[in-house]
Amino acid sequence: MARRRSARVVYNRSTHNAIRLGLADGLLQVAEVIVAVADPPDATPFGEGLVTTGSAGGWIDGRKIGGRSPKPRREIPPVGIVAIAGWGFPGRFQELGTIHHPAQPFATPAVDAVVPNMPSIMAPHVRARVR
Amino acid sequence: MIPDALPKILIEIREDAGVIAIAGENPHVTKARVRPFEPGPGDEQAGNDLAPYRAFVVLVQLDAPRMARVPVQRPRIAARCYGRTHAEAAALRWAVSNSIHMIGPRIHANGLGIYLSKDESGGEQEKDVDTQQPFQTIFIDLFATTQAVATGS
Repeated sequence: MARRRSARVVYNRSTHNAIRLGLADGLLQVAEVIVAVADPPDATPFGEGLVTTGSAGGWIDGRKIGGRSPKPRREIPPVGIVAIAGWGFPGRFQELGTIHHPAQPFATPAVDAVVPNMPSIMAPHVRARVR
Repeated sequence: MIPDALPKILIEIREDAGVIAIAGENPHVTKARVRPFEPGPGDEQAGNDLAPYRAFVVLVQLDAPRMARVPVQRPRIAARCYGRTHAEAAALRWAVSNSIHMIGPRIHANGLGIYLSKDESGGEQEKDVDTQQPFQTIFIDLFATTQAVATGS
């Protein structure tokens, strides 16, 4: 389940150059659009709003630069630009299914709907930094 | 009619000798327990002495977007590989992977052409949330046709 952004999180935006920040902001925007486009099923027993709490986050060289997402369990690579879109824990049961619960994929279709439009989503963020 | 890729991949996995060796249906082990969408009858077991776990595979098509200007689809399939133990789940995961990973282009009898099939990611050790049966999930990416393809003479 997504947590609220902690007041202790300190964004390290000033340490990154403008182009990388533009790329990271663009990727973060892509992740946020994926969360917005996805339509997670929220029926019981997985319901009560848990699956609908999707959020996105962006990292540069392992340091967070934006987004509401908490740090994922998997380690963020120490080098490079990373953006992650995710949903609350029961989401994986909806996406992939269990022995008792048929899969109802929602994340993969959202990714495939958004990824072809990545250039147009990222362009404003990159252009704003390059000028 | 656009050929559906999932049933053909299911047949390829179900008829693989490595998969049959682990998830073969008793008493005739010429066919493996590879199911579309959800487990088949008898696959789900409690995991106790009276009803021990069985090895089986469930294939779920996550989506199948088509490319805009060429008659190609890119189905993504999740294969949940259940074993009696974590070790057997891992063995079944690799057997499933080996049955489809980069095995080359092929055309099925209904005209479906599969140019590429690969094990894209996955392999985490997991337990089913309800029965606690060990399993691993892999994600299979396909490049396949959206039209029937004629075989060359």
